[in-house]
Order: sequence, then structure tokens, then C-alpha cells
Amino acid sequence: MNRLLIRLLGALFAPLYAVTHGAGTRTVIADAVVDRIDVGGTGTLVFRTSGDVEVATLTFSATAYGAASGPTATAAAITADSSATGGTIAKAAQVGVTNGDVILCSVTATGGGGDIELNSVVVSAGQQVSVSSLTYSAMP
Amino acid sequence: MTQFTALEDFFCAETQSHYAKDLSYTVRAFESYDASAWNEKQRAQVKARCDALAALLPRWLQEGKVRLGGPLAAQVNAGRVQGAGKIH
Repeated sequence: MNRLLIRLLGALFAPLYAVTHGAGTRTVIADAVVDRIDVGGTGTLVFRTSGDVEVATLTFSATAYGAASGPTATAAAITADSSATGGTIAKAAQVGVTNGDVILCSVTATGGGGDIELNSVVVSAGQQVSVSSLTYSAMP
Repeated sequence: MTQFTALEDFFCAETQSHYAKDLSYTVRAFESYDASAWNEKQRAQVKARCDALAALLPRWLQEGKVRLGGPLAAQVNAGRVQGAGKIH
């Protein structure tokens, strides 16, 4: 009886491991994710070392991303950090005032394969750090 | 484009980049970049990094530093961020 129950449960839940989402659903997901950055105030894009120490903090627009087109939302203008703390960047977080780290992603030098690529990941104290383009695409 | 996820933190001198545990990366061909705004030196630098990453990936896989694919908990359901920026 128990074996039968396990088989039945397995058959019911197995398809869930390979779900994909319809186009409209992906748009809704993208909007829902990026809108979390705006809750409670203006969000920030924080570059961090591999040990999670802040290197530079850039500021999103009051509405960080525009409405998603298909599965992809594009960030509005991002204000540069004109005087970075400095360090070697390894990752980035898109942070909301209320929701904390909303999106985490990798950062490398251009050609290094990161989600965000910078011309250099080594930042001296006081240097300016800017981001020229940023998109978020919802899961398939 | 091949995606991989770092299983440990490490620095790669050839790509001048840190690879952080549990974060994902993509091997891109140099041709996939818009190099129109770059000078010859910058083009050569990025091409060298692209080539190095493609060549190093099999070794990193063998050494157990990385695995193929995206984030472990959400291999199918991972969202995607793409961005570019500059240190001035």
C-alpha cells in the first residue's frame, strides 16, 4: 500500500521538476522581481568582494526597471558611485530598502563570463564606477 | 554559449576575474560583443579573456572548481541578469 502511494505521489509530482512558463507568465514574474527593488525607497546596485564587502554602491532610479517587455525588464538610468570605497569586485546585489538583496549576480572583467561585466574589477578608493546597461530576464 | 557555476571561490589571472561560489557565468564568443566603441588594445584584451575562459573551462571542470549549468536550486528556473559598466 505504501509503495503504491509513493508511486502515485511520484507520478503526480515528477512533472514539476521540469516546468517552464508561458510568455505572459514570464512577463509577470520579471515585473514582480524587479518591483521588489522599489519597495520602501530607492534601491541600490551594490558591488561586493568575494567576501561580501562593499566596493561601490550605485543608485537606481526611483522606479529601478521599466515594465518588462516579454520576459525582460530593462533598468532605468543608474546613478554612478562617484567615489567608490574600493576593492576587487566579484559579485553584485540589487538591493531594495525594504526587501534587502533582491537579485544576486556574478561580476567579472569583460570577457570573463560574469552576468555583469566591467572593464576592470579592481577599483581604487575614490574612483567612479558606472553601469551603462542592465537587464533582468525571468526564468524560462 | 556555455553556462557554468563556481563550486568554490577562486581568482583567474588570465581573465582577471574572481569566480564566486554558487554564482553562474557564461562563456561568450568575442564576436557576441559590440566592440565598436573599443580601441585595438581593448579588443585584444577582451578577445584574450574570451579565449582563455573557453580554454580553461574543461580544466576547471576536471579540477572540480566548477560544474556546467546554472544555479543549483533552480537549474530550470533561474532568471538572468546582463549588464555592463565601467571603472573610470
